[in-house]
Amino acid sequence: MSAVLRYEWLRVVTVRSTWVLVALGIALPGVLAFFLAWAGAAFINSGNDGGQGGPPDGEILAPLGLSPATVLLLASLLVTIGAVAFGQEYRHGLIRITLALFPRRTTVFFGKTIMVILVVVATSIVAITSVIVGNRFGLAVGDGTLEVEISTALLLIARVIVVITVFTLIAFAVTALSRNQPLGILVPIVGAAVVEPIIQAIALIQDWTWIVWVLPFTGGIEAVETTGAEAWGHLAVFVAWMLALLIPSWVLFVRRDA
Amino acid sequence: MSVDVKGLNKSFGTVRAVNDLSFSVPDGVVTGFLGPNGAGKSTAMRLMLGLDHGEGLTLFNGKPLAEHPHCSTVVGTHLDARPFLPGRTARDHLRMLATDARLPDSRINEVLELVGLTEVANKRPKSFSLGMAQRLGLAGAVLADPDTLMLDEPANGLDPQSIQWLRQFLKHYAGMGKAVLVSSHLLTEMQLMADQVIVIAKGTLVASGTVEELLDRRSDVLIRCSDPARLRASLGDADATIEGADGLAVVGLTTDEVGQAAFNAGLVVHELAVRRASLEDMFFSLTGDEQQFAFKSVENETPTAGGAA
Repeated sequence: MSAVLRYEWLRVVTVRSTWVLVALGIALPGVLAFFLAWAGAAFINSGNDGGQGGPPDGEILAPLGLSPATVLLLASLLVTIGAVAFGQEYRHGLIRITLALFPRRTTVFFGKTIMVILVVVATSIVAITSVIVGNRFGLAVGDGTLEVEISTALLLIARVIVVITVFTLIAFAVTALSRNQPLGILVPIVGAAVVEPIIQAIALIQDWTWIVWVLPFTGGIEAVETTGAEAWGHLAVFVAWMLALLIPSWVLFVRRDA
Repeated sequence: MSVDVKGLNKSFGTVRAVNDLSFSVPDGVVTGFLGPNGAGKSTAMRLMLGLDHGEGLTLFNGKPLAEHPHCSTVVGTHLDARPFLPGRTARDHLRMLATDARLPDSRINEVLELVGLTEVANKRPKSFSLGMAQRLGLAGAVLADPDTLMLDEPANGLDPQSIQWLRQFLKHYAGMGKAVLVSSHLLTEMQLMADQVIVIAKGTLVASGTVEELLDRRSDVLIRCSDPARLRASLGDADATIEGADGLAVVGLTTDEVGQAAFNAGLVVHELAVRRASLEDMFFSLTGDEQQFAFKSVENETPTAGGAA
């Protein structure tokens, strides 16, 4: 496994696109958090909020600046890291070199999985730091304040990291299943930003309140937007969907011709 | 025996791509792997490496490849013309391949120099010509100094100097006691490069042996004399065919034996020569009608100016 991890590490760090994605993943959410905090503080200070002292549900000022928009932005950038893990291999015929070098396919599959998780978690931690800095800086510039409970904040950060990692692993699994890199990138982005909002709109009309407990990406976003047991429940749904894609992709990777 | 292939079978739907294929690739020689398009050469190579799933067993130094701790030291492969990411530098590509055997950077420099890519080592190979891409593929194959090399059409895209270098390199590599399996469509090149050949058609082994043995089977003695029919009768059961008015082609006898028979029969001999078959002759005689996607014959067609009908 150690040789596969060294191989995967070099695969990840020796392409320019990885560094571009990581840099964007760190910078853009921080910038977004800065402007949201600045605008939100300015809005509250203007008195247009009716004197509530700040909206409670993360509509303008999410705790630490970790709004669903920030999470979706970061996830949308990092899904590419998940998709290219297999996408590049199939697109350029590298999979034959990889499997001639490391014929134990399960080791290769989980080596790739571990490396994707490590890169995404590390990037997410730095990106979240960037978001918190952006948020604090924006609040300072906008002359606003937002009290944050440390234990709640740490749990939120943990959920955000898991949600972004699961987004990426869904891209990883879809690419491994389909051997199609663009599809692997599009499924989580289009699913979260287009398909599920449409389904939710229909569900709202039909009064299908249970739908938020079924849809994968909605579950991921709800895991960030809610707290306590509800948040962890939504996260479990999201993880279950990811595993439902990841396990068949592993089985097919072992069984299919390279 | 470095590589031992036993009973490979592979089907794609109803098409039998490889059919009970067994052969050996010995150490110390270059083994050519020949067959028409669609004969199953590439599929057989992928089966040998476990890249495709099928029946049969391939042993590298007595064990399946997956049982070796460092596969890059057992077999080096070059199966695709451009087996690299266009955006990753040539050096980084080789650094990845070096991870299995934990090879130092100095070894990467050695193979880059060997294939003449030192100057472009830090460039992204998206702009590499096919010949340069083949060299990078070869560098990756030999990086860990493996016991066996498996190369699929490595001479494609190479200029004559590079082909000559490749031939010398593979001979030298085999000369170090390594096994080298090379598939190619360049028959004249293979005749110069390979010490033994394996010929397959429609996934089935049709011939194997040293190049000399196979060519001897297809070579004959041509004699032009005053009465070829009488000479044929005097040769008894020998495989002899009359050619033209005064020619007789004899298989399985030497020029001395045929000349002596003509003398004994009192014939005037105008010409006596060995007709040496080429690898191409042998290849076509073995696989002539086995091409999967055959061209339309143009032998009896009348040429038309500018392609007009």
